[in-house]
Amino acid sequence: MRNVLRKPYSPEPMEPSELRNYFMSDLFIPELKATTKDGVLKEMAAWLEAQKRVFRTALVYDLLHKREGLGSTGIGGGIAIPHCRTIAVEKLTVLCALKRDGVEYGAPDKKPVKIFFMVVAPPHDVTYLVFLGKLVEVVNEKQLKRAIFEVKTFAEFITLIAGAA
Amino acid sequence: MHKLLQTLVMLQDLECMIAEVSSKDVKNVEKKMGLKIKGEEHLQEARDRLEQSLPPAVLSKYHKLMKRFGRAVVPVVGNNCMGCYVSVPKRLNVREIGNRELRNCERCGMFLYWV
Repeated sequence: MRNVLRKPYSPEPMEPSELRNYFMSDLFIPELKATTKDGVLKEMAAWLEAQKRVFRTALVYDLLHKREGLGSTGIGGGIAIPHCRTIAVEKLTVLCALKRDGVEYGAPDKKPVKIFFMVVAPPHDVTYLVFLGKLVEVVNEKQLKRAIFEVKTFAEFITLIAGAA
Repeated sequence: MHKLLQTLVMLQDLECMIAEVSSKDVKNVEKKMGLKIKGEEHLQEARDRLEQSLPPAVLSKYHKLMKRFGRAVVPVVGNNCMGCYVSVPKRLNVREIGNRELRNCERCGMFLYWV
């Protein structure tokens, strides 16, 4: 109930330790099969459906595709954070995926993207923007970025995130 | 999933995105992420296309609900309509069954979507 009572877009900062609570072991893809930007979005959206986080892949894919049409969500340094709000999810959901060879994503630094954080939240979720801000802050750390490129399992990944937070 | 329900969910989500990309808070976060947003007019065009694909009666109800509540499609969570929190019939409380047809909440009238 606490979240419902908070004002929308509350400036309340997120505790660094809270970040790790949003990552789930079933929402981690150690190696993506897709080799294109669209393919990555489709594969990740399909994963959300397979893990019963959304009812239809198309609902999330369509929105993410439209968001990418406004400008790439690649933030540079081999990281992309495709994100959107939809009533298709029950709560803020984060899917992390890796592609060791990288995918051309139209990032501002033109570098291929190797780490993807797909963030999908329902319209009423007040932690969405706070979470995005904190995530960017944490993953932009050079050492962490390099370490994430090497992880193979969710356990290794979450240890890194927890350590950084 | 019922085709019209899927279109309504997409339409409402798109309206949410259109509102968001012009919001100051969102712009601040996107700026922090180093992202630039342009071409919002394409979202408007996509919304118009979705609206045109809906039957007039459904579209009219959608607009009425949006005007009154600011949203027209609400999720059903834990057997409750998230628009007015009234219970929905238990026999529908399986998303594969609930989403098979276009249904409205008996109390608030909003379109129901089983998450």
